[in-house]
Amino acid sequence: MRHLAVGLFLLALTAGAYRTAWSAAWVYEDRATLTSATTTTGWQRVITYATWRLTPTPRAAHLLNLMCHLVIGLLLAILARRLGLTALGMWVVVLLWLLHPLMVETVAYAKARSEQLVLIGVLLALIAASGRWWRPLGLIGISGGSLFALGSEPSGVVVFLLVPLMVWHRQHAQKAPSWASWWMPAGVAAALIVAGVVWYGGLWAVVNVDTEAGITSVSAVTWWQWGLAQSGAVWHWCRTVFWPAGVTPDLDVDHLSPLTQWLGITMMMAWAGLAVRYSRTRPLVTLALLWMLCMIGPRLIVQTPRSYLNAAQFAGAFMGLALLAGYGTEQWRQQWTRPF
Amino acid sequence: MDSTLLAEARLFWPLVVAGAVASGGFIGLLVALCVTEVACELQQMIHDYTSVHAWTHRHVRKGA
Repeated sequence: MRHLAVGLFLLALTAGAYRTAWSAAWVYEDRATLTSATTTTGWQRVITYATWRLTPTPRAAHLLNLMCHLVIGLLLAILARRLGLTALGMWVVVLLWLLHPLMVETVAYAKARSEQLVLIGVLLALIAASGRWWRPLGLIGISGGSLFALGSEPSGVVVFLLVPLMVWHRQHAQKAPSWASWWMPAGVAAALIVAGVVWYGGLWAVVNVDTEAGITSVSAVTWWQWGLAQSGAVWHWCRTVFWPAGVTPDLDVDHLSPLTQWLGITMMMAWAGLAVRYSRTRPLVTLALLWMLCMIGPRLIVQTPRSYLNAAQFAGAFMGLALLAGYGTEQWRQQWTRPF
Repeated sequence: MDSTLLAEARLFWPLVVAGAVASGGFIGLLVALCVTEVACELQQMIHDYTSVHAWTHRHVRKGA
């Protein structure tokens, strides 16, 4: 009953905060996306484009984005509980997801729905992977979630990193049959990634561009320059998570300072170091840190479609931070309620 | 003045004062400040994404 009340309260807060989305018009690339959805054929973004054809008006599109936002909140709550967070930790995760200013782009900007759909697919796969993944229901959940993520946006490929990570994290949570070793999903995912890269035209095509014209246009951008720029964006969004003053829809990544870029690189290296440091004592911290690295990592090297990291694309990494916040809150509470 | 800024001003100080008075201390003031900051930024971002005027204004100012 108490959980229902908290859930309804958060639902009311979210609906109230986003009330202006009902009457909002298309902005920026919304119209272009709608045109693409109605004219493009093929399997890429097939799920995203199907949702756009179902919601041709701004009101319907914004309503669907809000619904997706709430669904992701629910899936996050389920996953948080399954990972062992208490009710307090779970509600902190959900609260941050539903009402953090950084998440506005995924909700109020209709074009960002593709990222929401990817996250729905990834979370479904992760919930399945966190249980008895070797059983038929688990395998169906992982396959279905992965296909949903990949059919929504190419960035859904992160599911091939996160599912093995989750299986590894949960390897001691339940007894698996001898044939279902924790490394098996990692092997399958690696094989699928290699097959996908070969099918797509080789590593160069994947990490750089997907057309001849594109190769010409970005040949002057080295991997290092690209990685530095993206690292600067990572630092900016992380700083915004902790103190959202000045958060803006039109971040100019090209004008972020070299200091910001190096801070981003240093921070990600610190995440990796802390993930190793806490792998035995605080495995959930390790999971959350590696989660963020898996969500961001591909964007540091893949230049297609040459999109700087935006708030919607950072949403996946934000989930890792939210898990850390939920875990930290319950640890803090235990510290203060411990008898002297 | 921008209506959002007005709303922000209306929200800001009452929350800060209420938080400080209710807690009677520094931590309450800090919490009130943080909650208010996040609420104001949330409101500003939603305004930026749902108002064609705000969107155009931002991009004209940026020169994009």
